Amino acid sequence: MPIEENELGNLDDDLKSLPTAVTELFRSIDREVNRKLKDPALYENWVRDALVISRSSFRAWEATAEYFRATLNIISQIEKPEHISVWGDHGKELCVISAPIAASYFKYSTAFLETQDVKSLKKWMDAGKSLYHGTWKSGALVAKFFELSPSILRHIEIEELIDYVTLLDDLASHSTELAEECLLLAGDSFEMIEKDSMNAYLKLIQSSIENNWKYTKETQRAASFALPRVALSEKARFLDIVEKMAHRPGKLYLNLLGDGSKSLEQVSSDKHGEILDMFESINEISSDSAVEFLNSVPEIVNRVGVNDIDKWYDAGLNILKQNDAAGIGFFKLESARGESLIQKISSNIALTEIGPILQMYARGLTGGDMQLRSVTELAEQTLGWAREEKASTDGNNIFLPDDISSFPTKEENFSWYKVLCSHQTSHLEFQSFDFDFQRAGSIFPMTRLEIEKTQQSKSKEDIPLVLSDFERYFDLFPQRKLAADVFETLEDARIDYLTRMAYAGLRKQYQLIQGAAVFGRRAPQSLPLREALVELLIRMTLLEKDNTIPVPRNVKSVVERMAATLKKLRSVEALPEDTAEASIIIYQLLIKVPNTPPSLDLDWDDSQIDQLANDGEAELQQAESASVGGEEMVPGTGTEDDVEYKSPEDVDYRGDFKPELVQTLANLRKGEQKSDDITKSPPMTEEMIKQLLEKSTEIDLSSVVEGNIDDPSGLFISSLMSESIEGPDAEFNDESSESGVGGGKEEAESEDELPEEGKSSLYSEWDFVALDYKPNWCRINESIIKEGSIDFYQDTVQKYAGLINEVRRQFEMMVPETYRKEKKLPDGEEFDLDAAIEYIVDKRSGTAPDEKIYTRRNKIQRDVAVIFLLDMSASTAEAIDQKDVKNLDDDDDVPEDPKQYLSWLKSRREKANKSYRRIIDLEKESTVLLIRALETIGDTYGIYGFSGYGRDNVEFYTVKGLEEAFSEKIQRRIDGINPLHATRMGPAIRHAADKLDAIAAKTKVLFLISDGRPQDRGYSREGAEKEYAVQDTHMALLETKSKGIIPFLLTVDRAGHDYMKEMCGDLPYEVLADIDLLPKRLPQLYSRLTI
Amino acid sequence: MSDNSNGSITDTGTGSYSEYEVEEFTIDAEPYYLPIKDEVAVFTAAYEQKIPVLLKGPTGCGKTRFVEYMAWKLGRPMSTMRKGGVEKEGKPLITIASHEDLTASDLVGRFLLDGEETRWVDGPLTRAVKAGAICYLDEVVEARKDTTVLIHPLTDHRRLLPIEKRGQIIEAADGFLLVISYNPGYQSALKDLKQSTRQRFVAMEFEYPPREAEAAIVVQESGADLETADLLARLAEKVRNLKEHGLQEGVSTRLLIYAGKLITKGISPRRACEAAVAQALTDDPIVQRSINEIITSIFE
Repeated sequence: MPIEENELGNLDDDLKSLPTAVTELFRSIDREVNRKLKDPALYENWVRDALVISRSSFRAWEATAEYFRATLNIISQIEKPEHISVWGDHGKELCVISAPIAASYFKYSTAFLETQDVKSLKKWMDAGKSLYHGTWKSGALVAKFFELSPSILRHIEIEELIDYVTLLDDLASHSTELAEECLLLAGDSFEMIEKDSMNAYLKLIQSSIENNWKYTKETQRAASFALPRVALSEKARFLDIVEKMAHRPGKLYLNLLGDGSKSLEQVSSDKHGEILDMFESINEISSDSAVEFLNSVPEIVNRVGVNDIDKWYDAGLNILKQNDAAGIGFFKLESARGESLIQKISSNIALTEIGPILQMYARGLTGGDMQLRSVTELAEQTLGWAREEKASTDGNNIFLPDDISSFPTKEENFSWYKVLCSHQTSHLEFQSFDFDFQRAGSIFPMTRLEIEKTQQSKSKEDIPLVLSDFERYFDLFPQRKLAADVFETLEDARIDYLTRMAYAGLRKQYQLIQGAAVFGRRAPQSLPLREALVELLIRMTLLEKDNTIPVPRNVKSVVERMAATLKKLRSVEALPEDTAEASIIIYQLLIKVPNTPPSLDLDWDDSQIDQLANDGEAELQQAESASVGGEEMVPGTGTEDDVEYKSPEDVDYRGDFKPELVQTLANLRKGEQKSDDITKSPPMTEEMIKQLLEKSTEIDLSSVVEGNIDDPSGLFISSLMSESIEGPDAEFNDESSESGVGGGKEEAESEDELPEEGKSSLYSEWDFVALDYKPNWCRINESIIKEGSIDFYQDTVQKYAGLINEVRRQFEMMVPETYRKEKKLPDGEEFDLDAAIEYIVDKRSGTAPDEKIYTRRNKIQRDVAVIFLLDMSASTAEAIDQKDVKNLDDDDDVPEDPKQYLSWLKSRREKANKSYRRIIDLEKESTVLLIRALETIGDTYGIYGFSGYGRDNVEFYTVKGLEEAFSEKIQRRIDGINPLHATRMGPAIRHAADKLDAIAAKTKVLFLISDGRPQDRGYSREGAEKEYAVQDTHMALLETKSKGIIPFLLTVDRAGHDYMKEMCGDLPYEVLADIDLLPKRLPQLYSRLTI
Repeated sequence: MSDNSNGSITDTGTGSYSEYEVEEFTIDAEPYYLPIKDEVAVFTAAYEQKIPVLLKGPTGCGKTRFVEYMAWKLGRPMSTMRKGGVEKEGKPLITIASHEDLTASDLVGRFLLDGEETRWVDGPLTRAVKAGAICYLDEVVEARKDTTVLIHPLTDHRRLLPIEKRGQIIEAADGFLLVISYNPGYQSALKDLKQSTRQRFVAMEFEYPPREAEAAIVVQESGADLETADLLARLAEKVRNLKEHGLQEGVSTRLLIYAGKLITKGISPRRACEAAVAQALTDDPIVQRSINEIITSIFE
């Protein structure tokens, strides 16, 4: 009912004072509201409220507008009409404080009421109100709160929201923006948190705000992602741990939240409790270590198995108790001790561990230069060759999986590796790839040539040129895939048999593995008929002859004949050509069998394999006498239901067998000329290769596409061709790629990634705080120094002519005379006359005579090998004579007179342009002198330089190799020595020591010439920057000594005494105060060391 | 092997040993030697023509055994030697192991102080020359070059041995033959046979026997059965593939015989091979392990 006129009139005026838009809003809903509210008092109240609101402040009209906009919705949501005033009252309360927040309240209250009831309105309003602190920013925050909270409330209770708001308020005191951001994310975050964890979650956020407020948003977010990863029973505990850690300043707890939870995710949930137990124990000692522990857990699980984590943890905890740094290194997986422990515990075997052994084993068995390589390495290089983890060989390489962990013990896993490897070597030993189309086998009569002729005469086309005998062979079969499957199965069977015969030691293992291979294979009854027969064939190759297989009654004679053929093939006389013929026989049988889908109507009888073979023999003999008509290769007629033939499941231990591709590769590599008309090799055109690839079933190009989708075969061709041209690649080795487990001709052809003529090796580094090595920490890249001009050498020789002569004379004296007479020996060539006389005299006088009365000429040989290692760091570019450089900056004597000034300027410029002598120049000159001396004396010597930047990239340059003869080339290289970068001495020393270790000499010396202390990026430890480098160098020197090499350090750093004593310990060293003495001093020191 | 009843036998109480004068050591019973190629004929011809012989080959491939065999063979029909009234059969064989400190006096002889006088004592080379024995210098490259050139005059057609200290020259007795051996694989630049030395000899190259022959040898020498011997020969083939790939030298026939002998005494084949082959050939643990893997593949 409309209100009284007066009232309305008053109201009207008041309303008129509002902006038009608002009044229009009013008008638009007025009647409706009136109607809905029914009670006029309520209506009036409603209107009055609107007015109060509109008058409350400057921007109140916004609030009013929202008030009006929301009203109808509110009315529809509330249970009782009175509640409208409740709603309005709250709004009014807010309006007093700030109109925008009231507006927000009104605007979003509808959404709020969708999930909450009116009673909660107050709480909600109060929460929003609590966020307001009179600033515009806080007002914005409140507004956001009202806006977002309805959706947030879908995931949490209002009580929890209120708690959260308290936290937000705290946060806002630091930064309102951050609070707003958190609020924005809150909805999504809360969505991921379960009820039970909510408290802990909020507590965590609180801790974060209290201790590290800047990271609150990250915390909120990270925690929401983290929690789903943690096992249900452990969520609260996990949050608790994080929360405690959040009390520490810094981001450690975030690390835990993020990476730590990701680690847990990778481990099965029932282990989380255990792992957190371990975590907490470690945490008591060192939080950093605990976090690293958790981060490493997935890798440990991978390598050691989830049940053995505690062994690793125990060892680590013990180490941690003794030494913090060692502990953290252990858990970071950056410790040599840790590494060896893991290897001991883990039953997992990685190819890197046993590669060298298996490689040598393979070489022993095959007599070739086999390389053992990882399957994944192959997959990256040659597209489409290797499928996943299957072993295979291409004639020169054997590819094996990266690691084996299928069995519970190391021995069993190694055993499996050995079987995989042996199967591949057997292919080579028993000549699977030497198949010759035209050669007859020793068991089965040759039919292929006939078949080929028949086919040719029928097709009237020329036989296309093929790349290999296998290609020619497989061309005989219209259904290539079936033929390939049959051939590969039979050939593998032949290899299995021959291996078992030749290697009694492997027999038992093979039998076990073959038997196990049958398990888990699809039952033949579930396959289409032809495929079922192929499956039976495979089973017959795996089982022993007294085992039984299910045979479909209607094609029993086919199975019998297959069994008989297989039995015949299993003979020590069998050749791959026999496999080929046997395959033809079986192919001809199978091709007449339609591939009808499996049906329940078929009857299957269990038959003993040997029995089948015996029964089949008679039938085979009949077949053999029949002539080759040519129809035998044509498929029989099938039925409509027939499905397309699919290849059978692989047999794991047999790996991948690709006879066609391997033979092609081999032919490409050999550039072989085949003399018959058909298999032609050069020129091998891309066309021919493409043709092969399209025909061959050994590679599925469509699944191998990378890069240009349009031409997968193009990619493969190029990699195939490059594979064949490149030839065998560098060694399989775990550490240094230099040392000679099987060097030889491969060294000349380097891989593409390495720089020209470069080699790289890995070295461990000593951490003196952790008292342990960091395994494989530094990489040395070795290369030959670029040649410069020969002038430097010649100029130096001229310049130091006098000194050179002096040194040469010195050294000539060092060369011992070849024979030295030793007197008074108990045995020798001639009498030592003096001693002999004494002997007689003593005898006559009754004293016991001395029996040492002979002389002998003993050959004294000088057998010295020395390496000179030059520090090529940037500091060697410094000038020797600081005086020269200083003068340039001296401004004191600027003359006043203009004329004098000009000439002063000119001379100053000249001085600046004149190049000054650098430390490195002096080092180079000394090297030249040394070379002259060494050439005189004939010692074996090598000259190398080192520098580098970072542990990844220690550069090692050869100026003259140990085995190299001195020549003009070397002279030019000396000029190429230049100052470079940093000075990471440790790995350089180790590398040089390895070189000396590899040769034989009675005396070995490692002579290091440096100009300063060791330093490099990352060659340090927090808190002990300089000392770390010194300690690692010291350890490297000790290692050198233990190899029987005498290390000597010569430094021209005047401040050398600071660190040399500690770096060298008992080992000899010298600090040369006056660098100009270097050329003279160097030969002196050398002669002293090697006398 | 040789069963010499002509030497004096002394009983020390714990066992007896036989003592011989160096030129009385003859091979009286036929030593087992399986000819691989035509070495017997070539050596015999060289002997009859009084040409010295150089035997090349890896260690343990039968060089020394071959020389013993030839010593026996050439001793029949009898070239008897009288010593103390006893007629002996067989050809004396004097073996000298060369080493770095081998001096001229070690080969030729020296003066010793005897009481108050000096007495000249002949070295083994001199004794061989005088007795007309086969003198076998084993691993001749080990000796110093100044020692090796001593033998040059003996390789002339005149076959003279000068003894400078006594001022004498001895012309070799009729049956004298100089045989030297060495292993080309161990050569370094310093230890090489000079051309002026090596071109005085007829050279015969020895290799490890092919598998069947090697198996027969192992059967004969160790008493193992043919199947085992065949497996050992197979093992040898495989291990020899590792030469230059981790092993300096392949496994010698001698080591196979040792393995065979252990096996006949009841040691398991795998263990016997581990001891006689893997451990004997190398100390590198990786190489040892690889060889062991080959052993465990071949032997049950």
